Amino acid sequence: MYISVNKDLIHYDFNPAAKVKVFGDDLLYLVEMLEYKKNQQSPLMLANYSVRPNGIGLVSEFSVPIQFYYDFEIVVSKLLPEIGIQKIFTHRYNDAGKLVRFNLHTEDVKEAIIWYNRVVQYQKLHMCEIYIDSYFSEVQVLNKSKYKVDGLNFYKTYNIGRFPKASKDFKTRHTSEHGHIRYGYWKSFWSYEHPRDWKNLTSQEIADDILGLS
Amino acid sequence: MSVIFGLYGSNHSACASLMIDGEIISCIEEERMTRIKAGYSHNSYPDLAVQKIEEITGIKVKDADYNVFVEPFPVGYAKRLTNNNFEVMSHHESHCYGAYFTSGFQDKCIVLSYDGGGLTSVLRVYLCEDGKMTLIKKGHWADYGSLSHLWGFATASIMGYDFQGESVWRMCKDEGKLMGMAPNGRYDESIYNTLKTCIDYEKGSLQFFPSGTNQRTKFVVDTLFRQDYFVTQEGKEVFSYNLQKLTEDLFLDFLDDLHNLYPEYKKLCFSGGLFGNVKLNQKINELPWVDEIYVLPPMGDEGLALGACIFKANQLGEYIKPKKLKNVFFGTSFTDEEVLEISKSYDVIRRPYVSKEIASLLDEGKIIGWFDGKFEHGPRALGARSILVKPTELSTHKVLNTRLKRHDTMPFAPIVMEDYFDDIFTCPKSKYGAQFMTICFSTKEEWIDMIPAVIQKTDKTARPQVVNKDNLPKLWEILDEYREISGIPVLLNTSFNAHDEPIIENPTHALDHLKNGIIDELVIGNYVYIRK
Repeated sequence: MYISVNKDLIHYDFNPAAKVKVFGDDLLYLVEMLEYKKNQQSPLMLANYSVRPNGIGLVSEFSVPIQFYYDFEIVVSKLLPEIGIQKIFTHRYNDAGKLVRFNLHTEDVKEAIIWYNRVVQYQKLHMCEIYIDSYFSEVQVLNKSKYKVDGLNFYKTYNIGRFPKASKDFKTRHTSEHGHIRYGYWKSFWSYEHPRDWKNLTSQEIADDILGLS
Repeated sequence: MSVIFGLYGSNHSACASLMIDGEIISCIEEERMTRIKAGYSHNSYPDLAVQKIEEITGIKVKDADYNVFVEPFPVGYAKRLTNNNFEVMSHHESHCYGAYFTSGFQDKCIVLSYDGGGLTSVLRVYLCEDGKMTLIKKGHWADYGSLSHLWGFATASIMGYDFQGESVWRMCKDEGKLMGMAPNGRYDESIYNTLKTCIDYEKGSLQFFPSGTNQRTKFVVDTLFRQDYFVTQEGKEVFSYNLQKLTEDLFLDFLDDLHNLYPEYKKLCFSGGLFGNVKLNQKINELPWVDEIYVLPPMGDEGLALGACIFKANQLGEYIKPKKLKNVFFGTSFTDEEVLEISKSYDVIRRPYVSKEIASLLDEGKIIGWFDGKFEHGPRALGARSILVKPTELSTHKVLNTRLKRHDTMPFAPIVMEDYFDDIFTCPKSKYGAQFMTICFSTKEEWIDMIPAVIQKTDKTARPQVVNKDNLPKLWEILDEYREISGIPVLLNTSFNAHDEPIIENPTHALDHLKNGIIDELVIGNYVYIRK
């Protein structure tokens, strides 16, 4: 998604994790991701750091690799003389009316159907349009998808499956719950794909975890 | 009665402490052993510190009754080191226990820790009385700003980065340089307001905001650096001034709110890296409603192992009331014979120590290395590993900075005989805290020109160490002898180390300084060593 803010152009993408790039004339831009949690008065800082614009330099993209559902907002700021850090763009995750892709990573047709039903539940809750990718024609038929993948811009992609911990998952040496990931110094989860360890979960619980329906 | 090891590692400032039956036996920072300053090593483990304590005391970690790690801690390392016999405590709880139970404050006091963060939080506040602590505020990483982050990340960015991408000035090491430059700067509304967008305080809320102060500060300072704002010394000084001013303004507002909520609490105890800022401590000490402040001498994370020991001893009923520390000499020590043996490999001669003679040498302008007993715990040289010089010549700065290769923004501190403290400095409060060089004081007009080497040139403040006869008899004696010769009950005391080194630990380090001409004469124990 490209958004133009005065002379700056901001590109954000949530497929499957959040990424932000900025194109503009400033030396640096600050990108922050805030998470809104139930029962919290104010949003919590999940990650923030400076990025170089125009794809130049080592850190020219902001990314938070968490793939499952969470209620977040991205904020882009620049430094203005006399004022300091000034927000130039904010976007809170909201897929209502937008096209969301769901990849069902299972070879079990029964499980694919369970997951499909949870996707439909998600659709009702979020009022989004859905595209489902699966091995099984049963699910494809149920989906009655009118879309073709090529040329489509998905607002968000969810991967639903059982994903082992990957080497890219940051394992902190600090946590007492060894094996869990801590992000933003406070958010604790099992891997970038799963909020909880899927090994003891039912098919429905796995999908609900990933889609934020738990 | 128990043997307790406190341990902290996997971050900067790894350290280990040993407490037996509620008595502090030993506290050693890993940097003293590795000779690498904590700011250069943000992934250090207390291996050598533990090894040294085991060697000194003959007590092994594996045989201790309790091993207490402070968060954040390395799980696998802890299991291996202790044979899986360990427990874990919170970072800020450790800071607060360390501060409160060494404050000697029996009556009502507020205990507060504030730093760059433990596992989950950056701040804790307790109400305390008669050994009981009640938690009233926790500042969580995710929604609380950190003034320590403001300083750490400003320090790490202000001089840019080397070709390997490492900061030229280091977080947890060089913050004092900015604090030292601050008085030479001036108020600049634009910089002040810009820094205020990194962190602010909402009156009445006890809430610093926004969180993410670390990266917001880095963003601001990196941008200013790229705009060449820091190319001139003036730019750095103006920035530092506004950094210091904002820190004081926000934190004093916060304390004001605490005072309004708990007006009967007029004594304050602090720990955490923020309180390495002696200028901030001065402002707090000068608040009219404050009776006394105390800052844990090892106020940074190097004091966490001590806090862990105190916490456990308190749980066990072995350390239940706050006590005053006589001193913080908890490191290694060496006998005269051991030193003599080490000195044989150097081209030096020794003679017996006579205080009057050393006082005369100081008066002549000699730079004396002072190595006495166990080394100090914490960042300050307090008369166990110090360099002593007469305070009367401003030119001393240039000589010392050249010999020690130090940055010229770093002021030198005085040691002062307790009986004369009120004659020289304006604020008579918190003398116990001032035994550990943790607070700045304004100098009385008549003394400014008499001791210029230990006074900050612009704001005329100093960071004195109060010395009394009971706690530091040998240091007090040399001060008294010097006073008899010069009429001045003050000496310059700077840490015994060259720039970028930790304070020295053993006689070899001291003799190296003598050999290299950094000091003129070296007092160790009952002897004086000089080059042949």
